[in-house]
Amino acid sequence: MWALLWKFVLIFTFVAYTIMFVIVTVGGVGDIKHLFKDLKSPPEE
Amino acid sequence: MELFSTNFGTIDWIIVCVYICIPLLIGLYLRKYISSSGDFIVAGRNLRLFLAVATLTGTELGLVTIMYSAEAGFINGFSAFHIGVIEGAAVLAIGLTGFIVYKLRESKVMTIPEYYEKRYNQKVRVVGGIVLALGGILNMGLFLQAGARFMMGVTGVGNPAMLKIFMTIMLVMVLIYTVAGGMVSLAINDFLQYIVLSLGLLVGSIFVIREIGWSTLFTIPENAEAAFTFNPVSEQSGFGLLYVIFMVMVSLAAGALWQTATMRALAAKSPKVAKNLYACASLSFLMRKVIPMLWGVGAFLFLATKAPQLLEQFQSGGYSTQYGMPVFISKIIPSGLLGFIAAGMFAAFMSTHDSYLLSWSSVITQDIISPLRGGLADTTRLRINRITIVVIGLFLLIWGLWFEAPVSLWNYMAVTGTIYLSGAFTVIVCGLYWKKASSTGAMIALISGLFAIAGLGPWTKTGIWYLSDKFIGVSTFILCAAGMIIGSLAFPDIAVKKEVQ
Repeated sequence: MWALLWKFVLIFTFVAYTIMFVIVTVGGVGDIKHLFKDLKSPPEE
Repeated sequence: MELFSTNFGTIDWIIVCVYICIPLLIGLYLRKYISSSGDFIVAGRNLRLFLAVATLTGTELGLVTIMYSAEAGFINGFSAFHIGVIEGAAVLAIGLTGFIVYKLRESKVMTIPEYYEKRYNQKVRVVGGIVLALGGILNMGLFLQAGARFMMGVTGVGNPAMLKIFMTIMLVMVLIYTVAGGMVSLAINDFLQYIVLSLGLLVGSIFVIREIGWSTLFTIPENAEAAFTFNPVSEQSGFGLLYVIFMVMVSLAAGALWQTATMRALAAKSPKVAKNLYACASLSFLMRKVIPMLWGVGAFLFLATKAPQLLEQFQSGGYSTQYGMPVFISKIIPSGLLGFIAAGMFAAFMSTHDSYLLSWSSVITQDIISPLRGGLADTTRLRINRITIVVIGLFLLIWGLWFEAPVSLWNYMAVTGTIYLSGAFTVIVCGLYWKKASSTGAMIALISGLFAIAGLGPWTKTGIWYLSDKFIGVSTFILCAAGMIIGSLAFPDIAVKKEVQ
């Protein structure tokens, strides 16, 4: 039973994390653009 | 088979060196965006959900996490998976309910001790800050050592004298860009490191499974004896029921209140983003334990079947069990890809170190020095932050060189974490959800947390149940809760007295 449980946990982790990785990577690029817009620009020298 | 023979070659060194330069350049470039301590510590509170998830993962998935998880898999087999499952479930529960984090983000504090002052008084903040910094800095005391051991194992450098050199070089790299960029630099670097690290772990796992075989992975080798088992509740696994209870307590408290993770919640755009961040990141918390543990299990099986004489040396204490996973992957992953994975791991080392250094320096500056000196100008605060980072870094170097933990790396982390978490969890939960919580009760709870230090003593090895680290850990949580309740009821705050009257 325990072996079966850990097998399921392992498969779930791989599949779910791979999907999350793709979503977060794509969404994160957009967030970085917003971050720089939000932070005040450095003063001109 | 030689323990330190490796596939790591010149091309891998080049990949690692090139990769190391990227965060340094980003840190230096982003320096001009830092104009206040708020920008430095919480990026002006501008982190949106996806970036927050990536940076939280980047921070909490450190090389030390990979090392202690792999070591647990190497020593305890699949039964170690329960630690990851409990942690993932605890973080998911926090994310779904908003338990603690929603209200904390609403309070607009920058650090947890700042909340202590808002809810209780300044003395609680200073004492809480000292306990937090003590527990936190001790907790990261072995990060450098574990990181250097990984790099030595992967690159095949077996000379023990090289450990000092590896540790020093790695520390200097981290210090340069943490001092330069603060949270803005962390956010961008952590995002890059999140990508490299996630890919490295996923691809590396394919090699581990291919090497061992999916069905072989779940069989118990003949020479594994009772230590290699699947059932964490069984004492033979090296854990037992009390340990599982300890893990539930630590995971719930750490999930909500570990300063480095909570900083991400406090830096989130809104309380709702903070809550969602935890729900999304629960998968990262599961993954950060389960995948390295798989690598550790793989390392054990690899040695058990292909080099039993080497495995005996590990089991007799000839080599630190921390070397198990790195020497394993250095043998099964081909050159080129190995450099990529080593770079990802080094990135993990950097991203964790920078966040931890930033967290503890912020606590020392904001919650100890500033209140004691009656406030500080923003520029002074920023300068002290940076000086503190360097001082903590030097302490880590000295501690990592001279201290060898009497327990496994993960148990060392859990025990040192409990010093702070046991008190903080009680004080914050009661502060947020119990009107009668008083400053005296909070002081007693915070100081009671120091009892956890007993879990690092040599007596934990005697085999006597009430002297074990897990019993001391669970007792500390109970002691803090009892101290908080009794102290609050016996010595209520004046404002509460009036309200009650």
